[in-house]
Amino acid sequence: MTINEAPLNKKLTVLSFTDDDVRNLSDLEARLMHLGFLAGHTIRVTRKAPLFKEPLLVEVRGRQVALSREEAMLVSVEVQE
Amino acid sequence: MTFRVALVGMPNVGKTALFNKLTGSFQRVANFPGVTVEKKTGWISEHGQRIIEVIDLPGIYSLDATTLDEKVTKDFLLQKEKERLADLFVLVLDATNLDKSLFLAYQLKELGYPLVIALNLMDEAHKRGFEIDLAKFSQELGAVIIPTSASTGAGLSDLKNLLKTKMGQEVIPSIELPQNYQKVFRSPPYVNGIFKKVDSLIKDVTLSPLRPDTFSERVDHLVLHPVWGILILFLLLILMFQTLFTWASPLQDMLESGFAFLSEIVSTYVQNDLLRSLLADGIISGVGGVLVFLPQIMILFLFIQFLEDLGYLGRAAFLMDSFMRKIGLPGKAVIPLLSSHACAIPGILSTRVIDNHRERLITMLVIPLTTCSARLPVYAILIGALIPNEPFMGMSWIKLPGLALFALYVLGFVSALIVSLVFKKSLPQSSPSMLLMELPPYRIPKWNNLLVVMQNKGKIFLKKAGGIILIVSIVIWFLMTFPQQGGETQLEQSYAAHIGRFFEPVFRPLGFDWRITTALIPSIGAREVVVSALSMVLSIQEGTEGFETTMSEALVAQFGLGSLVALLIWFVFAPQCISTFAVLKRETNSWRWPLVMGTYTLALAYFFAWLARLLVNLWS
Repeated sequence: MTINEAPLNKKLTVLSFTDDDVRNLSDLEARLMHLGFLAGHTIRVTRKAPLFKEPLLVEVRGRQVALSREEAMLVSVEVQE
Repeated sequence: MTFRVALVGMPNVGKTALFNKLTGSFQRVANFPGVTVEKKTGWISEHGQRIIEVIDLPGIYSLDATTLDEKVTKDFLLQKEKERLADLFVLVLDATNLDKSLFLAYQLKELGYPLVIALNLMDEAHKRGFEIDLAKFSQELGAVIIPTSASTGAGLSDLKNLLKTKMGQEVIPSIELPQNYQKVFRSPPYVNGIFKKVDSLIKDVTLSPLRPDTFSERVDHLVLHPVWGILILFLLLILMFQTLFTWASPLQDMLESGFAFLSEIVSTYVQNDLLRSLLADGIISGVGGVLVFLPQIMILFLFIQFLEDLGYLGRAAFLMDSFMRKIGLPGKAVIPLLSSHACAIPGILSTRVIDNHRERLITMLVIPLTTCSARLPVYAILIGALIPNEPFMGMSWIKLPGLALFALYVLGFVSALIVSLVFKKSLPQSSPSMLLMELPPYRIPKWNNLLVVMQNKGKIFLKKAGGIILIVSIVIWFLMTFPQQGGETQLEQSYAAHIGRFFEPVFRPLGFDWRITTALIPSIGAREVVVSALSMVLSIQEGTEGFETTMSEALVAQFGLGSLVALLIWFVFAPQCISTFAVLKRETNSWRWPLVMGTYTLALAYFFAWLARLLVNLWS
């Protein structure tokens, strides 16, 4: 699943942007990666904005990052057991 | 050559506050060549002598730049600019968020930049129990580290002294870029490698870890709440709106009476009739008419900077983003759009809070459609002439004129939204439209920082708009005054009237005769002037008792209902005052966008004025 489909307040493991990823990343993907959306990192969706259930607020590397739905769709994650 | 120091760091690490503290009032704000990204240059001075030049580079996350602001910094760092590289780099780190800052630190270190590190916000980190082995930290990064606090000023003299000692040592920076660095900087293994180094460094040097920021979390619980959060946002916006109208008005009155006084002095002491008229009626009243907006501009920026420093602006964007995006604008556009109801100039200047340049451009282009306060005197006199002061459907608390005024506000705002949708569809996408941003922890804003920012914004307005306003004021005065006959000015014979008559056929479908087109000419300087211009063409003495009633009656009798409604609608859309054009030119760095804005507002104004008159004539 991608971040926008993930449950609230559950620990998630990032699956996107692995070391053997050889694609040319887009600007947006690169920015996400530099913020810590990188394979192996643990993140958590902490909040959804009112009205349209987006943007999302995500905790990554100890910071609160706001993502629009389109941005959240670029990162795949899985729920940690 | 002066010793040159560049400040680099991520956004929100207090870099600009540090810059303001280091350089005090010795600074200059300009644009980087070719783009509208602000470049701040300042000087550290000693005994009134400027000894070190300091450049405040826009915040950057890493050398893999995605936004225009970051590209500017990257180009500077990688010497893609013609500009001389700095002799030394001060990397500003956030002690309360070391992890975030260290990515850039490693990147710069590995490429061989001569670095000095300012570990900012150290006082705040201490309060949260953070202790760090500075010696080890400095050794690992291979740079001198000075703990600083831009808010209290702690560590700043140490930093200055260090810069001064470095000044003596000639170091030629040798920067080695890896081959196809652009691809390397953007590859997951490279990013992952630096993250691992950062993690192990933090583990190594931390003596006592930072307690989590529970305060921001608790505040966010309220501020980002689905109900309370929206309520707080709207209360703040209403407060801002009120402030611009009410707090600014005593200051504006003061400026107005100041200019009136100046004008009186000129009238008393200047003997030559023509010179007196030029100074009093041309320059002082023309320039003064625009300068009265200075308090609004400064108060607005005080307010915006306060919210920015507090950490609220990002939250407002978070709350409004999905709604605003539906009409093609980002969440942050709420502030410029609302403030432009006071005056379009601060509105356009405040679009700098929008990071994406295409979205910023769209916001700037539609701002002139919102109802600025200079339209109010025009609306008041025209509504007074057109609409009887009677209750609406028998409800005594709603009067028809008030309702009409409200309708004009709505008309302006709704057209701004529609036009922004049109621009969204038609302007090419340049960089991805990003929300992606970190919500910074809440911090208490510092007054001195707010004052420096406010002062800079005021200066920009005076410098950039001032010249054009002066020239236009003189030109308009000339057109309204000449040619004279026997030393007397006859408005009907003036160049302005000639121009008005020339354009009369164009405006005939709207029902404007030469008197209206002539009165529209001075409104290019400032819209509210059209009231006195109309009174001049109708030969009614302004300021006399019952002026407004006389004006209302004369307007209806002379021009007829249809033409007056057309004129009212005309003012909803156009014409924009010259200061709006001047500021838009400055902010977009070309005449292209002011031209686009001027053309589309004129077209809308013409069409809707024509339509309004048609409907009125059909109905009556």
